[in-house]
Amino acid sequence: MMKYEFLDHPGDIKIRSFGKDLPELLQNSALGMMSFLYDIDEVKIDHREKIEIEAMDLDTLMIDWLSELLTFSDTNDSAYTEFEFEKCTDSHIVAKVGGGPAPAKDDIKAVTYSELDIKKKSEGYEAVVVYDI
Amino acid sequence: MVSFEKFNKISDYLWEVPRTFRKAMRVPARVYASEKMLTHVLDERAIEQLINIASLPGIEKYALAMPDIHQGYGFPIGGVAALRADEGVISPGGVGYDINCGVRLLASEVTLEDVGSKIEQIVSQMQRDVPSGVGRGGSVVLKEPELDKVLNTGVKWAISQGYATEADAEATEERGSMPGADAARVSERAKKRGADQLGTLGAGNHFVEIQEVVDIYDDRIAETFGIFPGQVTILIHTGSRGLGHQVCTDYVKLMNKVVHQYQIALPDRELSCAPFKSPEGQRYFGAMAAAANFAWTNRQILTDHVRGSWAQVLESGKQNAMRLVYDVAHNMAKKEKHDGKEYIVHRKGATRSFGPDHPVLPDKYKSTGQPVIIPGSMGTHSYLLAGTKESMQSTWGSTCHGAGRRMSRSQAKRSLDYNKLLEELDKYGVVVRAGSAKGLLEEAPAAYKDIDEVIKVVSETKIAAKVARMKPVGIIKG
Repeated sequence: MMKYEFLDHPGDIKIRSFGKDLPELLQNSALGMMSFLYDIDEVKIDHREKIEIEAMDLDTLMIDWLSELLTFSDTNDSAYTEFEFEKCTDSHIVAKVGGGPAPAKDDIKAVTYSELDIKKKSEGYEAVVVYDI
Repeated sequence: MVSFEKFNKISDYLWEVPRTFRKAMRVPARVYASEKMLTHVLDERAIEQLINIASLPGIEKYALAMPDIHQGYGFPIGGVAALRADEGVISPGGVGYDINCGVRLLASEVTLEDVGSKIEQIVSQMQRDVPSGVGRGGSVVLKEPELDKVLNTGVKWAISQGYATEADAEATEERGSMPGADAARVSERAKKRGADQLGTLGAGNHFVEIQEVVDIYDDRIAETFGIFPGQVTILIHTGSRGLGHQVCTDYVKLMNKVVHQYQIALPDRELSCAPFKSPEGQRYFGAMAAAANFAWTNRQILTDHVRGSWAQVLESGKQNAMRLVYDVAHNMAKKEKHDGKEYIVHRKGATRSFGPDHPVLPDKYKSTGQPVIIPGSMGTHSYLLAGTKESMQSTWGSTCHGAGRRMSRSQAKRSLDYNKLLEELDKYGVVVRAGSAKGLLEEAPAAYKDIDEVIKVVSETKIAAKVARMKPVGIIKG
């Protein structure tokens, strides 16, 4: 299964990600974002952060999850590419994420609700997220 | 999607979607554009976003779009709306993620002819001295108590540290120190994110540009602004960096949580808002003003770096003077009085354009109206204009902010050639120092709308008056 792909967008970037279940979808959405920010093949994992998200719906959960990772990424100058979910429902995530330095490629200002679309299909999940760059 | 037939033509450069178009609209929506420009923007979401603004509680007169309108988040870029302060809302989407992204114009005492042979040296020196590029931190890393001073007092702090003069503050909107700023309303996340980014340019469409004044359209105003033909000027374009982006993210999230408490029907989560007078509205305003102060301080520290580079390359003397003409914000919400009433005027990718005699303007600009600085995209002309009395009546004292993209980043990378672009820029007489080839291609002139067309609309509708045009001769970007 493809993890993520970049779609065209008039001004910014749009990433579609896939997952057989919700944790995999969240992970691949995060990897898609990280792959834009950094050369993730070169990452040297040297620390872990704990992330806990409580949200009123799946849309907000996705945005808050990616926003939190973006904040860690910008603050710590790190790419996060390892994910371990202790809890993952439509409204609650508890996870440990592993990250470290990697060659920086680009900047993202924010994760947006614009054109946000999360679908559950028979073969798994699909999500489209637009980022303000 | 809104089709062309739904627009009423008010004049050659002004179009209106009536209030009756959609039930939720409280006011009509107006677009400043030529017919050609309007039809080109119809396939994006920009007009839909403009119509959404027209449904905001407390909006008065019109939801407005400037001629560089294009798709944004919440508001379109180029969106302007005035909401009554007593019962209207404030919306982070009406300001933007890059709070107080803006631009300042510095004017030297010399012509390009005087220093022409040294331009390449100056550009190289600036690239060394101005922290730019992705993931690049600056040299000014502040602990929280000091960072809080920056957030609360902006350029006042910069003056106390020797980065700025009183004259610099006078030539900045709000004197670079916005009333109502409250560092306590800025989250720890935002402060941590911005901690090492003060005094940095960033990447994307942010840049430092060395220019030559090639046209003067109004001698009297140019003289008051201190602009003369052939003069070397410098433009600095950047904003509040990760700190501002985080503030916006934080408050879009907060307001989405409480928006139904205020019985506001949101057509778009990015248009999340709260009544200005509500606790959430006040908290956002305090945080936004603090982020705005961060951005002004950022542009001021960069000014200090640029002045240093300039003085290093040129022999000392009057050649060293680099005066700040003005600093304008183009992502902001301001408390303003119009016709005796108080409004929260949102300008998202739009510039304030106050006309002559406005009380907030510095004395030296009261006779002319404020300087309005409109950067072209990389490698194209920039314009210096003056605010007008007409803009106060028609657009709450607002005008455009730039050219707006017309090609996506991926389209630009696919269809444009890097070496050809370098050749073109070289032929045009521009020295470029860019952090990445990809970054340069994405910002190519061909990827942007025609700035001359945008300025023509602004000028014909009198929402700002042309004063001078500048051509780039050197570019530093991340």
